[in-house]
Amino acid sequence: MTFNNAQIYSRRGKRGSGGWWLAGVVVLVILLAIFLRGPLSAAWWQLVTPLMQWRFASANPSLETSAEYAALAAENKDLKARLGRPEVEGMRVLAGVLSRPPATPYDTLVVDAGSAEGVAEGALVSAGGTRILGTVAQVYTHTARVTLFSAPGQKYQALLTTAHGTLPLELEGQGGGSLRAQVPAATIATVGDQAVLPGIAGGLVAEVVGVGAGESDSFVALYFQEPANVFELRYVEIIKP
Amino acid sequence: MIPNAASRWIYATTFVLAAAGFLIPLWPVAIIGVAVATLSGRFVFGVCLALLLDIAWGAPTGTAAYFYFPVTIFALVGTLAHLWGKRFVIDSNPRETL
Repeated sequence: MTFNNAQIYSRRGKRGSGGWWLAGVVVLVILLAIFLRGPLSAAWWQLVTPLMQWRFASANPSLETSAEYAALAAENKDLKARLGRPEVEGMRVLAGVLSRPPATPYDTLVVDAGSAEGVAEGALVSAGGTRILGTVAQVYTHTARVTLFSAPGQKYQALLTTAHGTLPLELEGQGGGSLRAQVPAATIATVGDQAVLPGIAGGLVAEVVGVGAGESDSFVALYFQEPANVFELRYVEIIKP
Repeated sequence: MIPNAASRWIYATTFVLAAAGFLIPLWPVAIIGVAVATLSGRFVFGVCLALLLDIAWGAPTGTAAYFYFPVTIFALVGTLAHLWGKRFVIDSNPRETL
């Protein structure tokens, strides 16, 4: 079979225009995804929720509720009440974790409670009691996305409580449940010291796991871990504001 | 258009890798699936997989938030890499077939 030049150019032209059509369709799909990201995310997670619930059903639960912890929490509430600041208990919603690191790359969780269950954007998320892990970033109908404090690049104000006092610091997420902060070199901080949220309600945000050299001689770097293992979370509590 | 045997294998492998990244769970496995799809020339499939992953994972945090759809951008870069490789690196007229 032989082709003349006209036939060859005609075939090339058809193939070329087909390629442009395909590229146009791809661009259109990308634009649609960009503008409809929220509804598409909601639909996606509604679709895969049964699968993810089945997948993580065999995981070890990490919501620890020991008698010692409960006693300390009760004592803390009692002390605040005696000092004229009774704790106003926010309603808590128990949510199952559908997706967590390392299934997600940005230190986020997807939980199976959303606006229908009363979850609101910005609500604090705890691993049980006062161990605060992050905040709700996006709310869908029956699911929500939680950004952990350890998400890369996220910065939060906190208080470092040491045996020698309390000082404010800025925690920066490093990913993988880790955080970092710079404090003046004269600060006496040791492994096990805790970072808590400012305010009367408080809430443990992270624990010091290492002390290293800072960016200059004037500072030291403190390395923190989230108060619960984010790789094994099965349930979290969402604190309604 | 019916894909040939090689294409069928690539589509199946990339889909399994992307799904496995969700279920193992280990996100780099899903990224490898996208990379295999785009670098092997299955652009549309690769970009669609990447869009699904971006929709599932949400936007990144910190400075990377500016990328908004990072996996899709990665897939498009993979597509460009394949086209560039096909044009300048991969020999489209091997001597043994001439």
